[in-house]
Amino acid sequence: MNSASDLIARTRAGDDAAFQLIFERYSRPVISFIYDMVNERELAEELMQETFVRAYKNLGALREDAKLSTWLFGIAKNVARESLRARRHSSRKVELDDETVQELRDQKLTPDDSLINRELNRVIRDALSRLDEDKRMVFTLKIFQQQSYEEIAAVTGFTVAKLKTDLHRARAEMRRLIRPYLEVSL
Amino acid sequence: MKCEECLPLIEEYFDGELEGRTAESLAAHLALCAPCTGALTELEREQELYASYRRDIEVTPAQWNIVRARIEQEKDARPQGDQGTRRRGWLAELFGRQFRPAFVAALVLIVMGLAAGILYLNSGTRRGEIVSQASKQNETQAERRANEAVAPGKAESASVTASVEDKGKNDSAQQQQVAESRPRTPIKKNVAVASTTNSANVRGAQPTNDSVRFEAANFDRDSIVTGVRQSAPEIAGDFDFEVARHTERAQLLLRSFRNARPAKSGRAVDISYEKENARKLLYQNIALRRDAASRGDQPVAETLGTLEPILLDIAHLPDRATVRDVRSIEERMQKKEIVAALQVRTLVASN
Repeated sequence: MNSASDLIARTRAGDDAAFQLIFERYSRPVISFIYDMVNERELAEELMQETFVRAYKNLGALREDAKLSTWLFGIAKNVARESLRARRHSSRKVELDDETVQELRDQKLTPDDSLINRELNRVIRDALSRLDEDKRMVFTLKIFQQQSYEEIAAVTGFTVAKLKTDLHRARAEMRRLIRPYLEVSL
Repeated sequence: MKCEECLPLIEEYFDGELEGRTAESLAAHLALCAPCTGALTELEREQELYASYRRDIEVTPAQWNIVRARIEQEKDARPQGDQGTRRRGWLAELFGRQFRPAFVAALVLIVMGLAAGILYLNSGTRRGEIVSQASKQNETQAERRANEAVAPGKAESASVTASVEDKGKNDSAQQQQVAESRPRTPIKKNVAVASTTNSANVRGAQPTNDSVRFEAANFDRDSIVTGVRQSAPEIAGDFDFEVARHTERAQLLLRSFRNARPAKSGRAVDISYEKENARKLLYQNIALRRDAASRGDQPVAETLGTLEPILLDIAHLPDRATVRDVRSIEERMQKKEIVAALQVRTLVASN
């Protein structure tokens, strides 16, 4: 009844409630993906909104056989890339001697799980922000969004060979940055 | 399968992207090879760690409201585009052929030129009529004054009533013209234009249009009290415009504040620019909030009421604030979802 194709058809017929369901179903993965890409909370919120407005405007162009989530991630990727391009000059990449990273490195882990989780979240976020854009995109889509290689290729426009290489390198880089936490979780 | 063959494929295997015989032989190798199994276990552990990753971001109903408002805006904009298409179709249908855009543009310019010429000629004729009417009025008034000198108090009320009525008609017609041509002109300009044209066209007549004077007086008094234009039905559009502009500026300020970071050398954050802007916005915020409350516009009053303490706090920070102070304000901004609320208000007010 509320399958993706039903929701698309109903939205195309002018049923705004159906589009709200699409929003409710996909906004969380979309905002997570964008947040991982831009690493700025409120910017991610704005870009998520932009993604859904564009999706609504272009729903007519969605092919019948296309997967809705892949199509939405594709729009989100474009929106995030445009934003990253626009702020490239003023972007702040986290450097090795950055205060935040220093703090994380210096602090000793405590048995407090919530604290560990909080720190882990920050470490993963900082590590993600150090990956280059292509690697970050492929890594996020695979590891966090559980997309298949075929779907990632559809979203990014990369060849499967390139995305496999990017994913392998991203994994290696991330592994190096989160290694202390991998040892703790043993 | 050997380890050198297995290891390059292990990520694909872990990702479930290997199929058929390759996957089978890799699984067979893993059952026997401890180092390759170790590599797979490491991937599993990493995945567990990534699965526990929580982002400090949520999807809230306010965000859907923004999306919905923007979609509504799109819908409103679309029919105009469609009308444009239909109009072109209608032209082609009427003349039985498609015109080049340059030809249509030239045609439009000619028609506009003709229309302007006709309007100019008409206004010249009318101006002459008004001046002659005014001189007639002057003559009549001079006669009446002479009569009054003979019989004081007798013709006074009739004269004033006639003058007010005549001028009232002129004023309202002229005001309507001004209002139609400049729908968003602030009331002060309307008053100024109305009174100028009035004195120019009806020389000798006394400024007796009470409604115009009342509005002007109201405007001046309210400006002194609040610093902004107050509610008058004619300036409802201006209030929305002011709210849209103010909320947009506030959004920019809060985003800039949110992006402020400490210098690498120390822990202080230079927020002198944001502080200065917060001060400027604070006064306008107070005025607009009061204005909104007096109009009964509760959503605007509430949003500005939420914004006010944040502006106040930013305005009172030292030029080089501590990271803790800045973060505490940022957390409150996030908790109140003030940027999203301002975005909604900007959209609603600019509609």
